[in-house]
Amino acid sequence: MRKLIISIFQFIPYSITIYLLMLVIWGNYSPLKKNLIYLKGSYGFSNTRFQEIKKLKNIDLLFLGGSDCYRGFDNRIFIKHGLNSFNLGSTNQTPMQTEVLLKRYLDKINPELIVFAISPVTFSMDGVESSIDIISNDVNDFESFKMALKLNNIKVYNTLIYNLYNELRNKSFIEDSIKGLDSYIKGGFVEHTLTYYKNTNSIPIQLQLNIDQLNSFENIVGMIKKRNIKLILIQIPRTQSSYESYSNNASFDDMVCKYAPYYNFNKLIVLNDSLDFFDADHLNQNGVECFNESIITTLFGNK
Amino acid sequence: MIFTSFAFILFFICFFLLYWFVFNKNLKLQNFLILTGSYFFYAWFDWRFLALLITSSFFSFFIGIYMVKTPIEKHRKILFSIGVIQALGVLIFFKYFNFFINSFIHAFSLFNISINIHILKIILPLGISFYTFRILSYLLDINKGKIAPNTDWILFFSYVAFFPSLISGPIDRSSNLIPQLERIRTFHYSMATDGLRQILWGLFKKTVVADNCAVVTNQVFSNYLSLPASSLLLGLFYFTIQLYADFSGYSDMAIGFARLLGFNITKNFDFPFFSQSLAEFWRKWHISLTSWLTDYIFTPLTIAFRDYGNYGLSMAILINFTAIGIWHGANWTYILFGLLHGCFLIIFLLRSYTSQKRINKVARNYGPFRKLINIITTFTLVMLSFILFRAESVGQAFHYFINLFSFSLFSIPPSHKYNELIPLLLIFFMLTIEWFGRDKDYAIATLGYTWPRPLRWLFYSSIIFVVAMFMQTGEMTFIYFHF
Repeated sequence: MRKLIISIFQFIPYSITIYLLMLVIWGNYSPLKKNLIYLKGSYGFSNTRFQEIKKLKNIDLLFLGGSDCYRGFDNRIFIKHGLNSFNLGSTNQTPMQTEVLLKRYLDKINPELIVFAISPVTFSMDGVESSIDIISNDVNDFESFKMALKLNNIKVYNTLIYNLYNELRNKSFIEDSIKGLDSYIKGGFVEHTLTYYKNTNSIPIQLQLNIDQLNSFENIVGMIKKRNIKLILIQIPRTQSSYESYSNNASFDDMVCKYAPYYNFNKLIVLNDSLDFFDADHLNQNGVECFNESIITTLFGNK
Repeated sequence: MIFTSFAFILFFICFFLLYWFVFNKNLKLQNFLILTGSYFFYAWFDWRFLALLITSSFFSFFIGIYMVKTPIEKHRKILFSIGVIQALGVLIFFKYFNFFINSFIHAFSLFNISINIHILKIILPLGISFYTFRILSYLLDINKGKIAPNTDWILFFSYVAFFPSLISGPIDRSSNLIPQLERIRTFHYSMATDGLRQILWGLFKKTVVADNCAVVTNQVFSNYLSLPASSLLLGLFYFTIQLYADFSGYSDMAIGFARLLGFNITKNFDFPFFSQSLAEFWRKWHISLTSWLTDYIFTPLTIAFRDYGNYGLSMAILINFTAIGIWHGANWTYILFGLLHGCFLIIFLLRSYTSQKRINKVARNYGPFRKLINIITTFTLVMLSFILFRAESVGQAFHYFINLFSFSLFSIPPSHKYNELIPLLLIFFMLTIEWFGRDKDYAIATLGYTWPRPLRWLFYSSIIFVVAMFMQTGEMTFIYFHF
């Protein structure tokens, strides 16, 4: 038995070393990615956004949420109304990642108001994709390790390890500000070249809300309230077919409205599925302008 | 708490430490730990079925004892019948009740007679087919006088619920496992490292090969009406490999965990895809089930039908293979799967293709090329029969089969769509290793044994890396959990 225990304790560090070496080789040279997904400078401009937030202090408005958030709140429109804002949305961001980002940046940027874009979709996700995006594009701290342990997913672990290796290499990276039809706008907004959505029918589904996401959501609300920052919960408009495909919208609304003032803009404004969207879940620039004007009127009156 | 889950690893580490460091001095305590550990493991899946497992063990334990105690032969036979009926009755009720009712209703509907019988909402208890067969083998062996009944309830209950093989086998006979439970286990370094190697190889087969094949297989079988025949063929090939890698991977892990506890449990697979005939295939596929059925069904039947020559033998084969089919599940697809293999074997039997002497003679005369042809032919037949195994209904199997033989068989499968080439590489790697290790208990049993330690460990570490890199991240269960 002693021999086995000694062998195991010798094998574990040996195996970890080999694993790390292979992971680095795989990340650098393998055309196959499989369980090592490294999204540095990938879609969503997270890298540029995280670089920008590090230079910010004391803003009026902070937007949080997924891709519908960074494609839905145009900072230029808010500036016109005298509101200095930042959009901290990231791809498929779920409450679990929002919590990590808030712990990282909330005290630094100290916003007066937080607009948190939520939907049943983000509450039902596991948060793996968003974690990989954040780990790949932001500096990793203790919160990243906590998030990885919470998700307990091999893809997240591998990305975290590989990103730590890249951080050690300290290789400079500058992200393009235009990618395909998307342009990064200072303040975190991503503008999509005006295109229109060709409506297709969606299959009705009942989303199963993830208990970990609910817990993180409650933590976020607690964290914001503790700092006496005003919090507004918003559901960003989606195409009618996409919105109606989720059968638990009503129960979701009932649940979240207990935590903070909540506005479901799918019910508050009328948009055209083709003219105001570029895909089923994202507003095009026409839709963004209409939605942003509406939200400013709703939240601030005629500021 | 499946073998590939973090929960199981944690459970096993705790169990292992308690087993070898705390309970190692006293056999009874060690067996008691096996029993409580097994019940904890089983209850983790669904605690409600634990009562059924305990009740079945309880019945067979006392029936076994009283079968021998009673001096009257008639009473012994009655007790034996009660034991068998109880064990089989539970299995039939939970596994086949609704199937029989549905078939009954369907049969009458063919004559325009409608019968209004309600089916029950029955959940299949995990591992019921496996532990029932363990109980049956115990009662049958006592009845034949092969073994004496066990009077130590902890030991007997541990035999029925032995957790490494409780959920998906191998189906251990009482004559193999009970004697090992009766003697104090001593720790052997070589046995433990061998177990770890076998777990590693099983883990690779399950998480890397089977689960990656499953992604393609599920997509192909869900869209078989709209896909070209070449994709159907690829999907079927992947399913064949998936089934093997999934089940043999589980068996390897089960054997490996048992070896870490000092037990040698039954080997379940012996590289069946390198078989040169169907008869050889069935000697190497799910060995613990086929040998069980051979001993308790096929052999008694051949003796009973011996006066009828080849007809009697054919009948015994058909009954045996129908039993193999129906054991897998309550669906006509499984019954047809068994019957089809029975028919194959009868045809080959009558043409003497199954004779090992003949195979050896042919192999000598025609060399490796003939061997390869035999292997490919056997694999193809098995693969085609697996349509029935995977299909949800006989109709689906029929349509899949028909669509498979169309001109689009010669088209290039839309590989970009289903990422189909990655599993192909993984399968090639697995089969290559298995080919070179085919005369061992498992593929990597002695691979690298003579290499220097760092090189050998590099090989094991590489497998761990491949597992981590290719494993599917969602919860992937084992196919044979459904049986």
